[in-house]
Amino acid sequence: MVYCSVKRLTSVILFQGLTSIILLAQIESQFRIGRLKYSGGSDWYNDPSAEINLLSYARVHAGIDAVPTYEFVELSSEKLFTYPMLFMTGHGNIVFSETEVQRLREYLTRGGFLYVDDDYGLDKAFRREIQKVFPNTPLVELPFSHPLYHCWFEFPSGVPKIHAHDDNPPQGFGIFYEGRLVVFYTFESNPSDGWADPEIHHDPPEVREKALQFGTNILVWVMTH
Amino acid sequence: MPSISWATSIPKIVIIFLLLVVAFLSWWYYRRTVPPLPMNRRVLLMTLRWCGFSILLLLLSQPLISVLWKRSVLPSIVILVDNSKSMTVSDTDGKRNEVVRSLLSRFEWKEHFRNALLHAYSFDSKLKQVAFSSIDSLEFNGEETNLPRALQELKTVVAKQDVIGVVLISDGNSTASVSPLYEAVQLGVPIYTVGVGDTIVQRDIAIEKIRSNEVCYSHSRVPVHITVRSTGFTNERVSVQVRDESGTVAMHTVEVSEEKQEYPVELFFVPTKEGVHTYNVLVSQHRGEVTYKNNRGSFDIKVLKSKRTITVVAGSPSPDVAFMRRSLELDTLLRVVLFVQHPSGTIRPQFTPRHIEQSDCVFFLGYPTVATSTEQLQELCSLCSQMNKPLLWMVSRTVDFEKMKFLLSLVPIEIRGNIQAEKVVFPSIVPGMEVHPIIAIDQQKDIRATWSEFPPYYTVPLSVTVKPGAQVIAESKSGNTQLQPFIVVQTVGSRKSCVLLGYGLWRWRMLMNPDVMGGYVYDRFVRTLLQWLTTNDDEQRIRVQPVKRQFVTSEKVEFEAQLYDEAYRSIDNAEVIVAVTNNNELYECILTPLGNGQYEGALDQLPTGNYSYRARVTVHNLSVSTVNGKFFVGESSDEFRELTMNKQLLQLLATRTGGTFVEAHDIQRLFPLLQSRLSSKPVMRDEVVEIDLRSALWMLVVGVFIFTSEWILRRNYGLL
Repeated sequence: MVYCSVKRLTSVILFQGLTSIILLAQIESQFRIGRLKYSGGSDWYNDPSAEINLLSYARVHAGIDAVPTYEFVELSSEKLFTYPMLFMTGHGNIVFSETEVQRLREYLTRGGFLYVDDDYGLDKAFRREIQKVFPNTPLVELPFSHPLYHCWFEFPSGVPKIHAHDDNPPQGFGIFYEGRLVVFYTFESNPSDGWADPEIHHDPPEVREKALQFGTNILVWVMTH
Repeated sequence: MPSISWATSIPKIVIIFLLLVVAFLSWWYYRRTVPPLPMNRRVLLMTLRWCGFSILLLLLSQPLISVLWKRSVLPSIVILVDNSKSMTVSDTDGKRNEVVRSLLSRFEWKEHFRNALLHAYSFDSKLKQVAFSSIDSLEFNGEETNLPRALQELKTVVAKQDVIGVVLISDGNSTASVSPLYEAVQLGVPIYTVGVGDTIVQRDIAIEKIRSNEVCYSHSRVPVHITVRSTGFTNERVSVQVRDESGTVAMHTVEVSEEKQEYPVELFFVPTKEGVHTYNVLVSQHRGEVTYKNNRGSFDIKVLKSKRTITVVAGSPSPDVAFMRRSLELDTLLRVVLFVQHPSGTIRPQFTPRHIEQSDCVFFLGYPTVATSTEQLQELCSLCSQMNKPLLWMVSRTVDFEKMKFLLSLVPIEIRGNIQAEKVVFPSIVPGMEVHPIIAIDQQKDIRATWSEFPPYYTVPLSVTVKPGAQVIAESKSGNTQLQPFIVVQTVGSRKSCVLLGYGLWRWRMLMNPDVMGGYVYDRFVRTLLQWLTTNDDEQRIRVQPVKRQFVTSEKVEFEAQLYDEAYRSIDNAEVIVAVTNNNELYECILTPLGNGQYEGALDQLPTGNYSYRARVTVHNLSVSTVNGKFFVGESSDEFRELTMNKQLLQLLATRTGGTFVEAHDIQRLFPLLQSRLSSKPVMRDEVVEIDLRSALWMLVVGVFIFTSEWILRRNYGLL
């Protein structure tokens, strides 16, 4: 257990270092995803290779001018509004302060997008906290026919099942603001685990491919709608 | 012999007393003079002084003189005849207008009323005096029956003449929105009403009401709600059609029965051509109908082009694409069709020339890239050029320099040299361009101040040359250095193009606080950009149109025009000639300048029909513009909405004013009633003329003359 924690910590540090190097060389206009750092005790920081691999994949398969980097941002940060998309994941509790609730709502209504992936155990806390942001707009399940599932790669059955979790069918939920999908939440699926380096979760190649394709769909949707 | 009376503000007894006092004082003053004067001269001076002061005293008393004299006048009878179109309806007795003519010609009115003056008036939309001898030649073509107005205008007649009664010959169907009863009572004389027409409901099928949209989009389903009124028919099938110039566009059959009188019908049609169109509504004609004139109606619809289409071609998915699309789609009248290039070079979804053909504007965002197929790019550019589509080109970091060259014939810049490293820049408005529509996104605020709040964006320095005739309206600056043009625009003929040498503009929407900026400035920028690209300047600057789309036959067809040059200054020296055609008939109208670019003109009443007009605007014999349009001239059908005599109203008019109601065939009953109101002797009428001396300048002049004369005499007599 200790070894695993050390290994995980080492990989985080390594990735942070690599990211810093990449950041120095990157072009400012290139697309990047902001990993949302939140309070509550959950591991918001896990699998930092997820965004890097996804963005690399999207560069090749969708032509997106992205910088494959891991960056995190807090809701209180001045840099929040420089990210067109935020990504949130974890296993535990989430707590948004009143200010953070307002900031997140402001970010989303101005044009930002939030993708949340339940890494297993995030569901209850996320649903509770996101309701503070949009108290009058519940999460609604997206039907299989929703264009997000078909905009680049085809997912006729909706969200792909990447990890077992409770062996329930995978689901995708959304919050719409003025007709635009501003929050997308995957449950009982965990695509972001599929984006991580292969040695982290040991997913079969086809599962990882599916996860990366699905992630590309999310990016294409965000950058065309 | 006239009697004269006078009134003053001061009691007369006081005035007389004061006059005596003035007389005494005048005598006292001149009873002894130095040098002594003969009596006659002293009397003259006394008299002058007394007269002068008397006039002054009278003026101060504000006199009003009334002269009353009596003259004998014969009493008058007013014959008031309804001259509206409803009087052409046929009843069981025959046509109403013929009944009226018969009433007027058959009876020797002047013989019956030898001791009276007969005044004849006709009324429809207004009152008109006619010679009694020619009253039976009325045309009964008035478009409305405005009885309240006629009675109101009759008051002046009643005031001047000794009117003992008004004989109103009408079917009683007033089309005015107010009841005539009030004016009738105010008239102050009895009204003897002669009802013309049947009271029995006759068989008729009519269009009661038509309701439709005033504006719609082409290729969209438009509802028309028609109310058909049927009286006297049982189990009759009535067809209701909507027709335009090409034929029937919608039809429905309704079965009418005696129980139900009004039948709502809803029809739908799909207009395909833009512009203002007149649609006629027709119900079938059935034997036995009292009139067919109410079997048709019409309505106008302005058909707009179905949603404007903006085609966006993106080199790859990017936040600029998403934000631009969202901003465009805020306008519900806009349809955005997005094509995204795949890394392989193919475009998704599949692209065809028809997409460009149906577009109102084309956006290239970050396109073309390295992956773009040359053939595809050439085809796109060729289509845009051939179809003269307005073009917006956002040059981003990923645009391929080599492929860029294919676009250069469509855009207002030339590019030489390679793309350099990206730079972070700010917008800078070129002096003088603050009023350019793309820059002036907020007319209420200081434009430079607004643009100075814009967050930085990105550009790739290029060696850019602006083509002749193009305008640089904003530049990119880094620090205090102007790097290169940012927004370049050009209008060639009717085609506009705009290049944005900057990207990452999506950040303007995320980073600018809408609460501080009064909304999303980015959205306003995109909207004004699109508006500039898709607006045909000529259409806005030159406007010639009829004042309304539908006229009736009784009114003039009026035109108005507003003319501005390219700098939006008014054109006051243009010649505007409007040629109006209807089948083979041609009418011409020259508009008169009113100043400030405004012109007006009118054609006399035109017959019913659909008309097209073509307005030519020339300045110094050079053609500036030509404007086309359509309008319709129809008959007002209000007169045929009610086909029976409104006996109740006519009876009320009579009873409320002390008159009597008779039906047309019984008109002779009126004669003894009217004759009984005539006396055997002429009536003496008092006429009063008032002379107001309060402001009579001549009295003042006389007074001044008298005092001056006194003074001259005093000087001559050596008293001064």
